[in-house]
Amino acid sequence: MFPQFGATAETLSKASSMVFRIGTDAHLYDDPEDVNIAPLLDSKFDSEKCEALKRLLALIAQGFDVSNFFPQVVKNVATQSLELKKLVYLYLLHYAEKRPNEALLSINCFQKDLGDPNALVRACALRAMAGIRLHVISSLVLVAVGKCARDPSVYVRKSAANALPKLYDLRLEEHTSAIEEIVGILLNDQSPGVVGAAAAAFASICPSNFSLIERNYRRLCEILPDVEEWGQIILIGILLRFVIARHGLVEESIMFSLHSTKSGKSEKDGEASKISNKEDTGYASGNDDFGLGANVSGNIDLEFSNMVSRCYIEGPDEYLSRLSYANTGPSELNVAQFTSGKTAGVHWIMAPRENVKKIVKPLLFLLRSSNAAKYVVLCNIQVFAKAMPSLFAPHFEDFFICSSDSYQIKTLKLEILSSIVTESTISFVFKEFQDYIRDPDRRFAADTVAAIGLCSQRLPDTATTCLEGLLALTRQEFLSSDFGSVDGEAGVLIQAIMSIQSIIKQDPPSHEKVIIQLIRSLDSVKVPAARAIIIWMVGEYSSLGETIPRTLSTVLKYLAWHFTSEALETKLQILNSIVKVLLCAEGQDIQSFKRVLNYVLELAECDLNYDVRDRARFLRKILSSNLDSQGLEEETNILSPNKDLAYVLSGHIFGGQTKSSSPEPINYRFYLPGSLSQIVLHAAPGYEPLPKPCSLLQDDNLDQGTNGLERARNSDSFNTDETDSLSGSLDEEGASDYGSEHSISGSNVSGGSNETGSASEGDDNTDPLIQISDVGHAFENQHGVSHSGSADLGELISKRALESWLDDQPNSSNTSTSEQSQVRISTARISIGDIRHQVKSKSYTLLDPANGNGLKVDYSFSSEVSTISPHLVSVEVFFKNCSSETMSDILLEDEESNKDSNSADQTLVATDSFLTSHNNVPILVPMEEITYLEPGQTAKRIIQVRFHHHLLPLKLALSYNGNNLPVKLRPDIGYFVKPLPMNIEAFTDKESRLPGMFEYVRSSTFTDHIGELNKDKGDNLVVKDNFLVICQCLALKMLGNANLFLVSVDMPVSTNLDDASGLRLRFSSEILSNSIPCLITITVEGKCNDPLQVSVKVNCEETVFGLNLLNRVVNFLAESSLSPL
Amino acid sequence: MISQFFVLSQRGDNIVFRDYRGEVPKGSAEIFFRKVKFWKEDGEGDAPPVFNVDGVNYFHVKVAGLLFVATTRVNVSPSLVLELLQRIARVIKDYLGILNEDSLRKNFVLVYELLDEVIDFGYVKTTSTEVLKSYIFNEPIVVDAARVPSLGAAGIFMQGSKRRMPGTAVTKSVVANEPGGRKREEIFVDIIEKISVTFSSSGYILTSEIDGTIQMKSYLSGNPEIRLALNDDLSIGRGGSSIYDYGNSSGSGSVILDDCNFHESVHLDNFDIDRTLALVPPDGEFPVMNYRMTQEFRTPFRINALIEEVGPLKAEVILKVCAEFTSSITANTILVQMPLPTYTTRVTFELEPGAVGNTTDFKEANKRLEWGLKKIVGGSEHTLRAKLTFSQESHGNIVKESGPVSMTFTIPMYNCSRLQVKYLHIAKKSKTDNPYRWVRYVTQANSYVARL
Repeated sequence: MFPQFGATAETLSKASSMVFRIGTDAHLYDDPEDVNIAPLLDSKFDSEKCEALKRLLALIAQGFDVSNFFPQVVKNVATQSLELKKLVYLYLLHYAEKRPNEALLSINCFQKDLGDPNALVRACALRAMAGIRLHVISSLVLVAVGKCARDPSVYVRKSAANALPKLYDLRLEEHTSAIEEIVGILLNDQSPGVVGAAAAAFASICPSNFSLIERNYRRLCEILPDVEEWGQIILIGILLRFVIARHGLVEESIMFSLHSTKSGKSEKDGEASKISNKEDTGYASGNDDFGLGANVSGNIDLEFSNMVSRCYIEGPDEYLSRLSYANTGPSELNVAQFTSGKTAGVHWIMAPRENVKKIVKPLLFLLRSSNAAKYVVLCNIQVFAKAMPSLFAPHFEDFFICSSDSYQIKTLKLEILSSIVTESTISFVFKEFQDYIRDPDRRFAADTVAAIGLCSQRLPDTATTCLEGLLALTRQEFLSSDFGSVDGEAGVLIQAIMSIQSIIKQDPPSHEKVIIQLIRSLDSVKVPAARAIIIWMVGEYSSLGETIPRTLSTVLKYLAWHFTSEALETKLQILNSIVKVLLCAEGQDIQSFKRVLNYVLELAECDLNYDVRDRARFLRKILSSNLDSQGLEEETNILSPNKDLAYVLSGHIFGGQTKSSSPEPINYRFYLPGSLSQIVLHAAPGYEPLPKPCSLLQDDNLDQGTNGLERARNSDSFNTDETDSLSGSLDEEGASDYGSEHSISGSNVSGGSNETGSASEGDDNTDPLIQISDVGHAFENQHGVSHSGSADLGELISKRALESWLDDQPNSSNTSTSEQSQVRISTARISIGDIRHQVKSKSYTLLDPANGNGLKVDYSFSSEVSTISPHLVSVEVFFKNCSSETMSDILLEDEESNKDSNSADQTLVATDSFLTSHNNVPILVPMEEITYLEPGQTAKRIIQVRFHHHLLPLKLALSYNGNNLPVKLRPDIGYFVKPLPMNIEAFTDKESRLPGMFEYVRSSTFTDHIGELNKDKGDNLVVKDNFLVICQCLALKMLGNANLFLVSVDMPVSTNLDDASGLRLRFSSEILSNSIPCLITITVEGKCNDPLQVSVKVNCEETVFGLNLLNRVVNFLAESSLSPL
Repeated sequence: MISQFFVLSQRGDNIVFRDYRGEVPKGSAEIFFRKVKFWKEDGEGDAPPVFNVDGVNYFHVKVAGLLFVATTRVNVSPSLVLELLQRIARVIKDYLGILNEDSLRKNFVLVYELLDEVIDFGYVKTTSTEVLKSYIFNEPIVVDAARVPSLGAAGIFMQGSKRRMPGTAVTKSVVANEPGGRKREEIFVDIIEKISVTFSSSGYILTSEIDGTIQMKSYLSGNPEIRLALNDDLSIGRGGSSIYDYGNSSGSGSVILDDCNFHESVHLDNFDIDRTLALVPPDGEFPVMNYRMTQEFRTPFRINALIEEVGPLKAEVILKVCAEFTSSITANTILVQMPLPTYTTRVTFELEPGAVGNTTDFKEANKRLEWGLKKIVGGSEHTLRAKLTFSQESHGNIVKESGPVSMTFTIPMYNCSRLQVKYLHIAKKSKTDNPYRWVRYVTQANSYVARL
């Protein structure tokens, strides 16, 4: 795949094996500290460093904390040896979050590696850098990822895709859109490997940003088969969600009819070869058809709608062919068993009913893979089988239990079996079940009994057989349960009686005899739960048929007799049942029942268990009328409403007591098949139900798409006709139809050029740029003609075409180039000479008079360069006494007063290095003391601060009148630079030498000029040029907030008068501390009277500084100036 | 995406531990191990491969006695993760040659490096040994294979058949260089079949199924193309049950597979014509083809079980196993099991005269009779008599109280389906070197049950 890596890897591994043949790694693991690691790390030889790192890794693996070696390890990051580099990265990533400061030291090395010619090195560096996961460097990483996303090497691009989730995981709101943009770029990649990784990123970053998918939908469908299996499964999921969000489910979708005809067709000509080739040739031929259509028509809408509909149709079909492959045909899916599992899920959701069948065989095949997978597959089959039993009904034999199955698998199989049995298969299944009941695992036997109950519920015809079997079972079971006293046996018995209960419930009258048999067996059934159920049946069916009412008095007496010796649940059930019987009873029995009830209630009121006591008291109260009205038949008649009430009440109460602990309470909760949630039966975080069908709003494109859809349908029919070649006349008719349709819409020429542009993009990323610049030239020419400003029709059309093209594929690189091409059209370079004098530097408040007893202190950053040291930033501080008293001894100094000026000076002289972190604190050159400040008087002092590029507020102490007040000085990165005068040639030269990693772009909006322009309108006397006003505003804003040199102003000439797009300002500066040049370019876009889109570009070698400066510039541009100039 | 990956030994030691996202608390390995180890006490038997404790989802597979575990908090496809774990195990095995605790410890740097390439921040990058080769720098340290009992289906070739096969071969690392310098050119093709048969009480076959796979492990240099020819009379799809009817109807004697699938590297251009598979094998072990067959086949063993009462508290069990394959083939590691009535208290065994290497046992806890045989030569017949003593009178129905007889075994160089590799052709550059080609067959019992 990557021959060059292979070669490097080979040589490297050979070399390293030569060195390491001496010993194995095992001793490192077993006794990692037998040599001192520190000296090894400092060794000159890579091999020794490697050994040290291996020891460290061994210690980490064994759970020791070896983070104290961090600084030493970080030093080694600059090594040339790839093996060592990888080891260092491993170590770094493990501890980076613990030691962020040290980890930052390695950033520069990573950045250097990002420019390495070896793709492997670049990828590693990117991975490690993204893996450090510190907020501080996130913007750097973002830039790096953005660059790597356009790397020529597939592996690096893939790494970029892998880095995206890490970046996203830092939860930096401001980067979200940028990250999503990169995801979009990567999704559009040519290499399947990259697309797979990008799909993973997409799924975790912006799973509902369907616009990204929409753009690439067709390509994604095409590339899907080539994507590595891990990415494939994710991609399928994404596409599925997209299709549902876009088109809804099949049945309700507008595509439904189309789909059914289509699938009908594919079934018609369903010879194996056709389907088997569908993936490749079939699809390719589809492409050809479209290619043809597109050429003829040159219509982008059709292309688009075709793409959507085609893929929608083709998508499932394609999966189908893959799946059917997996089962008989020659294909690859066996490896990716989970893929077919997932695909089955897709089918389940997407495919029309008759097509769902196709998932059966692959799923069954999966059953025979490893045990673990079996479990998961069965879980999914269970869901399918419950919803659509007919699907698996013919395959019931596959769910017979094997001796090697684990318990979970057995229960799953039982559940599936019980939900798929049919009239024809039930006898086979029951035969199997009979064997299962004898299984030594009694839990399993109990489950089998439950399954029998379920089966007979599904198939009422078999109820009698089932009942017989179950009754026999109860007889047999209680025999053995006498001595067995095993829990399992009891379980089986309970389950059997529960199954009987559920069968009886379906049709009580016909099972009267069974109930009587059960009641008779009360004497021998010892398990409380089972007894309770039987007693419940006594109560429930007391008035059923002929025989039961006659036996009741005996049964009740029997129950009353045994009441004291029963278990809790049985006692409760006896109480309930007697009441129920009483309420339904008629004739002379009532008296005896009442006596029984009274007797039992008395017993119950003295019971040890409070539940029973409560129940008894409760019943007595509620039934008082019944119980007291002995022999007064008429009275009960009078009180019938009362009695009814009691009856209803008791009915309600006992209705709740049925206690049907059937085993499927939570199993019916539905999660998407194939998801984790479905297996562990809870919504795991990140579980997302399907998007709402058709939730994706249909934008303009899609409206056109639906129009085109009709056409697509036409073309489809046309295609079918052609392939089937039914009749020539039809063929012709279809063709002419087709052609005419497109000739109408095909008049748009520029559409054609777009067409070629997008098509050629398939080959190379750079191609479309050329195409676009062609369009741009055409554009330019047209401009040349219509220079006067009156836009003619042709221009409008081509421009709109360009815009629509851009809308379609907002590939950022394309956008920027097109901008450039626009800008290049014609610009005039102007100079704003006197701008310097208009600059007002902003002043900030250091101390409010309210807080400072009347002392007001303001400061502003001065553009003057310090005389003491070039590293110092001059800050002008204005003191004003607003109080009525004289102030004395005003002094502003460092908060740590122990640091006197001497030491400060020393440190200044001492070192420039940034890596010596001890001295890396802001330093203040103290100011001259103000001895007296009269009321109303103002004094100005200059303090000089070395900020060391710290952006946190600097704490200072302000002392006056003997008091000490803490104040905060906020550094402004705009003044960490000084103007670097240069001409435009030098500027462009420098700029071209700072590409790639050293270039950062952000955009912002600028509104200051609006007020200015409006003001001009007010005057109306001297109409200033709009552009000039904007330029001035921008320049003033920039110079007022940062210490820069204005290099040049480029102004567009040709465009409309009120279109400021193309206006460009260039500023240059150099960083105070190390004299590294820092270039800023501002490009404006938008209408003069509207807020302008400003894109700011910074080119600077010092990446952290550059980014910070960029952020600062963007921020101050965006904030509107409150004071009108 | 997964959060952590770790490998635990059977004792619960952390052998490999990698935390990718730091979402799951550190003690997860311990929690997991305790849960799995004591799952039985929850009354559930073995832990399911996927379960959830306190919001953390644990996935595990057992490979070669090691627990490969992944944890995550979020919703991922479980089959995907389980497959991933299997793949990781396979990649590691490809690299180390042998997969066990010792080899993992000895190669931990390599393993970590591999894991770094396979999973990034919880996302799977690639699991192909072939692709990984380009990014991995560490060299595997080969563990002495002789000391280690090898596991896995192909492992049985090591036992007792050293004469035929170089025992160390399959434990060789795919990437490591031989100590002698040059790699030995060889290729292994294993046809592994797992059979499931259920006999009715009267000895008829109720269900039978063969679950087969052709596995390949290539140590050939330069990735030459390989052609693998299967039986001419092979047909796929039974009756009309499949849409894809590959040719002739089921004539007698032909091998009919119900369905099959192939590895992605396999080209099937000639498969319809002459049943040959063409492929360029990737590095490492991989299944060339999986197949399933429910056509009737000759079962390797016949089981006769007889249980009868001989007194009020006594019964006798007679188990007879007949090997119905040719005498040139020997089955090994045979174990016959039979659950006895729950009230059985004592069992005495009586082996046939001259029986060697037989073990008999009565497992008191689950009332199970076990009969182990080291080997059975084809055509031979073995009998076991067991006298049972009961604690109470049986109710005349001991047969119902005792369970079905199940049997496990492996038979090397034998396959039930009669699927064969007729030849294995390696397209080689020079005529001089002739790579070693090993084609091996093995049949294992998956579920071999005779009902009473």
